[in-house]
Amino acid sequence: LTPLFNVVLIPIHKITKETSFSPFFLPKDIFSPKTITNNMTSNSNLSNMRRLVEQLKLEASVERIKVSQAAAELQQYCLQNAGKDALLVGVPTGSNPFREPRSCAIV
Amino acid sequence: MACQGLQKGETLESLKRESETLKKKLEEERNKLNDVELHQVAEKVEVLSALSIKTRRVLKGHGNKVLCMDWCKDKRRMVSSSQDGKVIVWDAFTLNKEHGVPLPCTWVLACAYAPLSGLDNKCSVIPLSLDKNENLAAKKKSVAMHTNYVSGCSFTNSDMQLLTSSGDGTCALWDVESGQLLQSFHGHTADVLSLDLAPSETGNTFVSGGCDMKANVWDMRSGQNIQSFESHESDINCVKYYPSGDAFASASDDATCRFYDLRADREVAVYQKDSIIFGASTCDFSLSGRLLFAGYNDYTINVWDVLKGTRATILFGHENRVSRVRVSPDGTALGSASWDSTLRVSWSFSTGSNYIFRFIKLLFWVNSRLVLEFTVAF
Repeated sequence: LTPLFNVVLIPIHKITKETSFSPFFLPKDIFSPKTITNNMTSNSNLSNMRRLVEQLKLEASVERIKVSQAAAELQQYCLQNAGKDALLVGVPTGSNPFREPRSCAIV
Repeated sequence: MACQGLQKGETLESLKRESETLKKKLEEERNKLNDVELHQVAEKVEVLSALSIKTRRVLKGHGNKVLCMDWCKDKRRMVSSSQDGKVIVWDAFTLNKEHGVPLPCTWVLACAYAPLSGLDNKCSVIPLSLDKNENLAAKKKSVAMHTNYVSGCSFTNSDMQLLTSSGDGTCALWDVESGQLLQSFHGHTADVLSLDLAPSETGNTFVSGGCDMKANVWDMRSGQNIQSFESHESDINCVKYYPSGDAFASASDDATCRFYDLRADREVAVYQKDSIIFGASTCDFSLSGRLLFAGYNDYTINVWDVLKGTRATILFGHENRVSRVRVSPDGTALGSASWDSTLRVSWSFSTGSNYIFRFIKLLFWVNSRLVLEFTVAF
């Protein structure tokens, strides 16, 4: 644990204890800048760009299927499994789903 | 990586131009296959009957905001971590607390069943045992080390490896026993906030989402970023695979949840409403994938019909931001954790028996009213 983190953690602890209604900051808002800045040397800029171009070439070459086909298969999966989805069909009224042994499965 | 000199004719400018053309080409390729919208395909599907999902249990015990929760594979136990520095294991049936582990770090951001990660940049694995006298905190083992906070973690299917995401912009795969780094994943340009492993049948990939508004799909073995999706307008707080493994959803600070199909390589649905203006911090699918539960910063959980793109119902009850929603492993219940320091477990009663239940209640009410009328009259 570096001293930097030690210093930052303590004040936050104090803030949240004393003022529970103050805006709460998540770690992503505090601990690092939003974007990781690259080195300013031209060589590493060049290698970053080259890496980006390679990555884009890779992504462009991905094999794709039509949305209509993909959507049809997603829909089919939903409908096939809908009967087993207890949040969709429900458990018998008044029962506790965590009780064991389980009651009959809902068909 | 050794820096190579300029290749013939290649300059920063020419590479920039090439990347722009490649990006345009990628968009064109994706749009060519966009022949229909998901909700149009789903028009023939029956509209969902009124869902009767309600909060049935409230688990109190944490002293401060609950930041993360997860279900155990035994479908009954839940683990939750809170800003009060404790991790508690609950039994969802008896509502008892089975273990309470105090931790040295007050910001425990993520817990999967066993590994815990947080703001001390380390991810620790704490073995849980039934012997309550054991000092569990002393058995803690540090597994992952990042140069910034660890935002999420997940055991791989074999349980011997741990995948972590971090504020330093990378994800990493660790061996649990030795603590060794097996693979690292670079590509995000800002904090990575969430990751999810593909369901076991579909192979060694995982998806990650971060503050750079991108969701990336990675190959675990090679470390390669195989697909990338950039359509959100703000930080992606949570990503979750669809149960079949062919798609995933993301929840973001831009108040929308989006659904991406991996084989069509594009976004296929956006779940949003003008009335929803607060960011979504978490999401999870129901067992069949028909419902998407998303927790928002306006204290509600919106339940979306994944196929039709409409909102099926809203769950109220939490008194502060919802930090995590998770469907139990067998799909029977939804667990939600919130900054109001409680956890809530919600499930649905089947509507048929609901009417009978309500009818019987009505009969009793009518009966009691008649008795009252008669007694008053006399």
